[in-house]
Amino acid sequence: MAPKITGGWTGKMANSGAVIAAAAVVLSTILVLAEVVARSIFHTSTMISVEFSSYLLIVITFLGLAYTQRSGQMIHVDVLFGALSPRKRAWADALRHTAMLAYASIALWYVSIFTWRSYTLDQVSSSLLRTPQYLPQLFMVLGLALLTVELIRSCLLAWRDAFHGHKQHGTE
Amino acid sequence: ADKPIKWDLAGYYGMGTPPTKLLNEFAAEVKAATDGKLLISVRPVGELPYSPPEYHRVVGNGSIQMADTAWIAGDIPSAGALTLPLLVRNFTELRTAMQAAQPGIDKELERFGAKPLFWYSFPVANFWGTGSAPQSLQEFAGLKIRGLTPEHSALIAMLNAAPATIATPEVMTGLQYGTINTAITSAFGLTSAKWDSLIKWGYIVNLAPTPSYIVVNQKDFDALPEDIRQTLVTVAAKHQEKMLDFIEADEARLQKELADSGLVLVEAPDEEIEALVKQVEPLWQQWHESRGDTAKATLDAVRSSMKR
Amino acid sequence: MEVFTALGLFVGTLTALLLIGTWMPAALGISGLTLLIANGDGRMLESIGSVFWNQGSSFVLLAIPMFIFMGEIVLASGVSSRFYRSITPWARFLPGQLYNSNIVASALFSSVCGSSVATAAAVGTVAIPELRKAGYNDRMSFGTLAVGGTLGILIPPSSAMIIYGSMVNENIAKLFIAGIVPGVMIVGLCIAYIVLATVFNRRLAPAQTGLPSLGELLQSVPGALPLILLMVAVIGSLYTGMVTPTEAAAVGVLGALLVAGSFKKLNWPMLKRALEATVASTCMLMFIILSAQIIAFAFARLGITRELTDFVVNQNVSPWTMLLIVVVLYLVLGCFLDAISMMVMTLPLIYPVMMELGFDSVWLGVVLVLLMEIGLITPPVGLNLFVLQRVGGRPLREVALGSLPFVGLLLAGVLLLAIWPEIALWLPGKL
Ligand code: NA
Ligand code: NA
Repeated sequence: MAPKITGGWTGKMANSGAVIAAAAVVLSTILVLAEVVARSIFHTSTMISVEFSSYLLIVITFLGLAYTQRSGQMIHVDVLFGALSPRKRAWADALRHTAMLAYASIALWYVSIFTWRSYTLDQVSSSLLRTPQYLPQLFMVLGLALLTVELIRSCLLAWRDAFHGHKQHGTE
Repeated sequence: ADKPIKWDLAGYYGMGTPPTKLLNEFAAEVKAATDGKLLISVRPVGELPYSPPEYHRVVGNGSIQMADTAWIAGDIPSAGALTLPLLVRNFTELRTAMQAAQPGIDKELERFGAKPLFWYSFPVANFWGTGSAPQSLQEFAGLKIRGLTPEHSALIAMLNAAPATIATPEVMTGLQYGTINTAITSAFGLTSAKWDSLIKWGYIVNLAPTPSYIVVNQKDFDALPEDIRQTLVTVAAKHQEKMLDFIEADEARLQKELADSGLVLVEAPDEEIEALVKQVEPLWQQWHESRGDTAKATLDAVRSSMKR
Repeated sequence: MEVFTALGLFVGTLTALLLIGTWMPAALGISGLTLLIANGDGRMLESIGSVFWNQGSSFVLLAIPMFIFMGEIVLASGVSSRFYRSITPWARFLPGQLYNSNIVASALFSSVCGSSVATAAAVGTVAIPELRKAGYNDRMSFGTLAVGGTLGILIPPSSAMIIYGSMVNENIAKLFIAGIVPGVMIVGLCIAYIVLATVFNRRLAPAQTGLPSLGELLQSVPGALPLILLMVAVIGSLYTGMVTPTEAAAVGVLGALLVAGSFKKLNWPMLKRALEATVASTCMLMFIILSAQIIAFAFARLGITRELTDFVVNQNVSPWTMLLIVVVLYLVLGCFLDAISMMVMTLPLIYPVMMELGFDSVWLGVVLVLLMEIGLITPPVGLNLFVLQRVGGRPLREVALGSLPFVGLLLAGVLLLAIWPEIALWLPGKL
């Protein structure tokens, strides 16, 4: 199933992100079940389940990005790309890595600004917990940073392959 | 001629709902009164990718020029003073209370770079539920009630009922299958969210109104030519009263319509409400103790204006 | 910018990016950002933060990772393979035999799993070796498995319905219920087709091996029961008011763990594999959903949504014409895009128009899901095709050709729903 990824510190970082995301899957399940038990058995509410588990979806989504990208599980269209000659495909591969890197870094930049402003404005949730919003938002920054690092690596490899006409390096 | 200034106004409600219609009327009048120099497009909720609780922020940072925002007590604690249970109980009281609260709210919004242009309010919230109607607050024991604020949850617990936290999109399912059987909202809220088909009773204690603020980006506002800015302020003031009157009347009409179609409306007797006020007063006090200086001052001002 | 210029720029950018193989989130996000920048809305880029945060911290969407997790546990614990073998004796009642098992097993499996890809993977992995051993036609096997897999997003629970419901603010439980009868109808259409095809072309399937004995049928119960109980637990907890749709997903995870435990398959490597797959699928889906929101934002910002809606409404198109437009649009887009991207991209455009024309929003949800199912099995981009290509080890062309007749069947399903909307709306109305 899911390919195991190893190799270098970037691989370790991507894996660590995925481990935290996996923990968030488990934790959110437990939180939601706790709310069900609290309501149906104890006629009360945890008060925190809905809000915290929403934050956990942020953790799952963003911290797993680098792993998903690196292990080749991000979806792409193969119509033309798959039909190109190895030489041309190496160039297309370099281009698409650049596009993805550009997107990830633009997103990282603006999400960081967004989170920084939440911090300086002392934003808290308007719900029950008044959670400082920058805390869960930091996971978006962290996840996109991991993705950007991973893409810098694979982008460099892709350009090297394109120039040297090497065969695919196999991060796809 | 100069190119017209184009502003977007992010709405709190969907297409075709009364507030959206009323805001469209406001925009139309601004256009007419400024000879088409200021064009405001009302964007129903969901059209832009912002969620209402952060409207004041995206207005403040200039992503959008105007928004209709409510439930902002997280960032604007002073606004929370007006929605404490049983402190402000009708629109007449709200007009007085808002005068007391306005300086605090203005000050807290200023931090975000936003300025309230005018305000209106969602109708006063009450208890609305499925199943058979309780005849007194005693009979609330055991109900599963969805509240909206920590104070609601505390109040629900005081009634020996179970507070439930359920995301808004899941309330309909919750009511349908009995995950919850009571929601704190208004007849207007019920009908606009299409929950009214499930609701069998309303229990009227007049908990609190939910004021909604039409905020504008401070810089964009300051950059308006003097005459246009004056016109905007004048039209806004007029529509504030117009919207308040309309919504108050509309809530009464909707409650009557619901009652006519078989929904049981129970008016809590005055003694019961007075007893409940005594119970909730410590909640106001707790709220006071846990908020910052501006919000503390706002609550003091609101309480003295209400003599409560 | 003029609306059609903007649309042209958008379609051009998106197509170019997709053709060079750019990953879906970046292709969607960059196309949206390009529109904003070309319109002189550079400072709007800051909204990326708001867009990601608002859509990403959604309690309702949390159901997606949890339903995927549930499906992955069932898959990784081997419960699904036991299930497939258990129900095969029942298929001997009909011509085409195991082809029918594929459809029924997929339908049942998909009802405990919100995802079509997981369904195709789960049933395909088990079924293909069995089918080959018994001498079934590869192409037809692929077709039945591919279309059976698509039922994952029609039969509840369904990640596609959750996303539709959360986008248009429709009752998710009602949408789930509305998918049941159409799901059964598609199963019926497929079985009818299999019976006819194998009766008229005897080379498609081995000869019938005689009816199963009562003993064989009874033996099927222990293998099939856990999955059926899991389905009852998820749907039952939802409709008895124990839980909301998102909470039902968590109950499903708990149930799947119990089922895995009852087969003594509850161990760390299994959980690890399920979690890895859950994280990757969730990230892939959520990043697409978030990135498509940038497009929705750009469309709203430029007024494209509104002008196109006005344009269509002012043309006075009839509801039938509009429906035809939607079907053709989804058929074309479905060739290239995955189901979720397609829906999140088009819904802000289509939904207001369809409502204006008087269509029912629950019915529309079901129809769009059927159209998305078609996209899953049309080349060049069809996720279920990819899954079966990987599992079956044959060229994509084989899988796609085998699926072609079933594209027709799903289209027939859309037509039936258009003629008799009650197929979708009757059951929700009863509850
Ligand atoms: Na399903
Ligand atoms: Na396709």
